[in-house]
Amino acid sequence: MTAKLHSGVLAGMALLLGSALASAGLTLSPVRSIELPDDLTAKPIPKWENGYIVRYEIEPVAAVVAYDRNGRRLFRTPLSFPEAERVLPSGVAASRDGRFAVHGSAFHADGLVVPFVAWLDAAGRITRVLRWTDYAPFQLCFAPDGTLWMAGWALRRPGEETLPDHDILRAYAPNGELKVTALPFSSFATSARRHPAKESRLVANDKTLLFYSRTAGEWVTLSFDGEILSRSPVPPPRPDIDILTGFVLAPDSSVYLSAQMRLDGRKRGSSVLRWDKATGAWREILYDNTGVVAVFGAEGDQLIVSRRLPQFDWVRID
Amino acid sequence: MARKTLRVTLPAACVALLLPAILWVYGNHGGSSALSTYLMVDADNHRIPDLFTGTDGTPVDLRGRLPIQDHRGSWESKGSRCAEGLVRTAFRALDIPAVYAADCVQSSCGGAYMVPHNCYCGFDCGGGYFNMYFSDPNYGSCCDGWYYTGEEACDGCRCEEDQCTIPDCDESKCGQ
Repeated sequence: MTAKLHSGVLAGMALLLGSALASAGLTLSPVRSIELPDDLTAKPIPKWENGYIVRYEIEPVAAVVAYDRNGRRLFRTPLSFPEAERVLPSGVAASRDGRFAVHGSAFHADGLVVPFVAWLDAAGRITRVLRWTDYAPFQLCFAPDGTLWMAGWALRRPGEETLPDHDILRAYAPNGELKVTALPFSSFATSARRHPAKESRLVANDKTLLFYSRTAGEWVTLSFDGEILSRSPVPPPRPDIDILTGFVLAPDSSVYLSAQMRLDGRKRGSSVLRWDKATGAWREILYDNTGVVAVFGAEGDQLIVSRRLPQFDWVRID
Repeated sequence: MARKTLRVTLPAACVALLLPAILWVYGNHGGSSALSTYLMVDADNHRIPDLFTGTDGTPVDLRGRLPIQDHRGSWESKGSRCAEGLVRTAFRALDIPAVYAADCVQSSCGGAYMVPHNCYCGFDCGGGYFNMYFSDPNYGSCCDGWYYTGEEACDGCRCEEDQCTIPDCDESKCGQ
């Protein structure tokens, strides 16, 4: 009797879950779930990369926090540097071999501001810090060989009317050596104000690197040597997008993104879309006007999504 | 003899026990200026003692015209009342002594709500943006979701004119 009741309750829950996530004839069925041991309210959105969840905090103190694929916290490393009154992290990345990187800005008490990227080892110890005076990264991602790729822009000196041309992408070896620069700013038909790196995404799988510029409406695939393999315009996923909440390059090179829409002022809806190579357009595979579904990553034939942080679900696309 | 040996070895043993512990604690907290073990380099891969050495005259030198303490902006939200309350509460303690600006918060600007980003001249109002997740039962489910805190509507020129602060968004510049 009890077993029947339990199975009935479970079946009901599964039905409810399925119906909540069903859309466009597709259902995302969770096959695995984890929950991080931290409250992520008012925290920057975490990132899934190479089997790790990594995120940063800006208050009460700047910090990098990493978790393994089971949601176990690996470390929480406060970020502070000599002479820096304040450190403001802006993005993070995790490598396949369990190293991490964070980029951001450091503020001196007298007004000096510098962009930096810091490498951390598997225990969360900072191993190297790189500072620029002419470049600031916007997005980070690790290639399979541990090279750290970044998308960013040149810094404009006071008095300079125009932004100098520069390569948007840079790649640094684990020893800090600059290996590759690629993708000139001048090759995009956008202004400095709508720099291609703004609101961009930089992701990698075993085969390629993908740079998606939402401002330029274009994406570029590159080899890990920096050679441009393809370049094509990409239409906006939806006209009513409020926030791009996720962007995923799957192992089979399928591309997914998630977005949040503001519906009637207060209500929000979520959409998960897959790039359809055949038609050259985004195809919505899920629409949810009750929650906030976002994609974070892909493993095998499964997408890693979250409907309510700090929980993550592995779902198979039926 | 035995007492003398004890007098020498006991402090030595204490140091031997404590030193690794102290180093471990510092190592696990990202290092400090005195005991940091990481390498800090500039873009030419040359070692530097701190992040600010050799940055005189760089694009991000705001000294003399932008005292950080005087430019603490106010968190602003003009979204729905629900979100406003939530965001204000969530960010009340978030006081970044940085060069940031109140962004355009009108819905036409892509739904930006809060801007704890660094917006300074050299970076052309960029350098960082945050998408933050909110979920608070006290405010109802309408507040669940991600809030874009970006700088899409920032304008580099006004940034310069206003010494890197944007007191009010010029809606005509939104989305440009």
